[in-house]
Amino acid sequence: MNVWSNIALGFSVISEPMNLVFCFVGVLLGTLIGVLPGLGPGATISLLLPLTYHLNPVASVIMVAGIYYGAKYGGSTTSILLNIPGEADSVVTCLDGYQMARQGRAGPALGIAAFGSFIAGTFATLGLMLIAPALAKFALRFGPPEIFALMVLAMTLITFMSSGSQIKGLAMATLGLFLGSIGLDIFENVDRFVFGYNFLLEGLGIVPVIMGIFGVGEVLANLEMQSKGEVFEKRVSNLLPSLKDWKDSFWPIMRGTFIGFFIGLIPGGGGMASTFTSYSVEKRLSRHPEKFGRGAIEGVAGPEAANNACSGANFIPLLTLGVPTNGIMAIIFASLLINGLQPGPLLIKNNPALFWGVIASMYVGNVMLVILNLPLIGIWVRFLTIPYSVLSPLILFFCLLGSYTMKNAVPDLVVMLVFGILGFLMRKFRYEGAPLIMGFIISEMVEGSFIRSLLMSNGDFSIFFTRPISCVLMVIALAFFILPFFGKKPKSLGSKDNEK
Amino acid sequence: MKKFDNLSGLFLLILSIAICIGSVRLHVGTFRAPGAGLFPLVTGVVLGIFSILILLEARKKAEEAIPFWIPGADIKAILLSFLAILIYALFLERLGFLASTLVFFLLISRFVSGHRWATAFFFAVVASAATYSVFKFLLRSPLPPGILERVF
Repeated sequence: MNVWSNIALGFSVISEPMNLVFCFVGVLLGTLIGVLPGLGPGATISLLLPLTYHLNPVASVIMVAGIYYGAKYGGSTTSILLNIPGEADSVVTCLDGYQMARQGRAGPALGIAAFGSFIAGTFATLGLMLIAPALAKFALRFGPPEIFALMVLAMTLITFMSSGSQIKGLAMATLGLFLGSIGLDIFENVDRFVFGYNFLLEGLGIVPVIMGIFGVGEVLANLEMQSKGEVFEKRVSNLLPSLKDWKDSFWPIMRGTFIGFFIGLIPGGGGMASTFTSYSVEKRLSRHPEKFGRGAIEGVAGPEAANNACSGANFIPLLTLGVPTNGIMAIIFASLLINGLQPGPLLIKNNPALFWGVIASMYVGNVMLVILNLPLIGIWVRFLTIPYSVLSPLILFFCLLGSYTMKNAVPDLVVMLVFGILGFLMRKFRYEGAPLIMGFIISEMVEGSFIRSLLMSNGDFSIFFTRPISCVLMVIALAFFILPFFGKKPKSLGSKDNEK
Repeated sequence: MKKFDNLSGLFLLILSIAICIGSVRLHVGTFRAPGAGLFPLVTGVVLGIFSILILLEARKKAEEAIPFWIPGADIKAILLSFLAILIYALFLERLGFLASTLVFFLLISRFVSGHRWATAFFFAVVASAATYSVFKFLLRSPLPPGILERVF
């Protein structure tokens, strides 16, 4: 099949009414949670995991993807109007976006953010269409040692790029790998660390673990410190950027798209790394860098484009290599698993409708977002007035409901509570949740490829270094592991969205 | 931060030793013929190494007193939330979905969010009825029946 017939397949999938509806629901929910501070996309998608169980896989992935990139749109709205980044990725947008709003230019700021994101989203989708199939084809040649090396590299990169300590991140990823090995062993059918509790035979449930760490953990952390913001401008008019705005923003959008796309391909390359890079590039290239931080439209256009291109590119490693690049991708990985789909190189081949449908839905979703966000901006601003005292009981309850309805098992509620406490303590002791979740989810793949490699080589560890691809991956992973010991890692790369 | 890292590093070290002991009790096998305990043992050993590195990193850090709770934190609300979840888990299949959900919302809304009784009651009724109808009728998901479900 060539590219065009694939694209045609994708659009035929997304034009099915059910899929269109779920795409819309996804971007709508995404925008909503992007606007609401204190409820991140990670928590929301995990809340919806049980619901996706009832949907068909294509519709559920389309919806979940919509939440992911929709949240990025919503996050920029609160950054510009309130100086509150709804998501960590939008911190940069606050710098110039809020200043523009104070100068009465909230409209063009919101407008350029939306159009910039749309343009970037379009290019990212195109890139996804071109790169993903080739990458998947390449990855089909991977044997167990390569898969193992790839997973090790992904974990090292995620913890390297994260804002916290890399050692702590790696410790959490390892703990996640262990937690994922609880239950029946895949090779010998021996029960491991079950302690006589039969519900553990199937392993710890993905949903209660994620809900505990992200959902309950987030609510409790927010209960401790409540943020309040005042809407700077209730009425926003004149959303269309002027010709001069467009002229100022065109190249920043293009560069932002490029930067975001490539950072999004790297595991751990979250939205925050891409927005900060784009901002500093624009500031350096600008002929009037002194305007940055005082309402320069380039400082909104570039990072917003980068953020959106990044979220599109994040899907490439997930759908082609089976590598989740950040916490949210790990949850999307889980939602695919729950639906009986194994993310990886075979996904495109075995489920072309899913793959191309999701890509096409991202394009359609971006159009929906422009329509949703520009004329309806006033409604979104009003959502900011919902007090957290109303939201928090609802979120906690949905965590409970989600954990329970997955298997209709009360022990899952206890698992959720335990991981809620763990998630809360992890925040307190500055440990990130994303590496733990990632390790937990890829544990079976890591163990399977590790054991199979050893069986292949008769117990010889050099197999990871004698095969070219796996050797290269291992060496890069080692380099990123050793690097922090020599000199400091660049702070601007710190990607806060991994905390979500 | 130093105290926090020392505490958490020590906890992880003890946990890793426990994981290693537990794995050895399973069949570890050899690298040539790996058993079920091999992978958990490897994770236990690696976690142990990282926890020692965390402890070593902590030694270099300055002694600064960061309070565990943010000043002015609503500690009661956080503990009550944990308690409410525990109560929900204990009573869900005994009292049924509607009754336990009502109690959960009443508890959280009144004592954690600090709403008045009337507001809390209204919130609890609306939220539990709405979720019940969505899950029961729209998603046809089996929810545990109990005292209130028998009435309706």
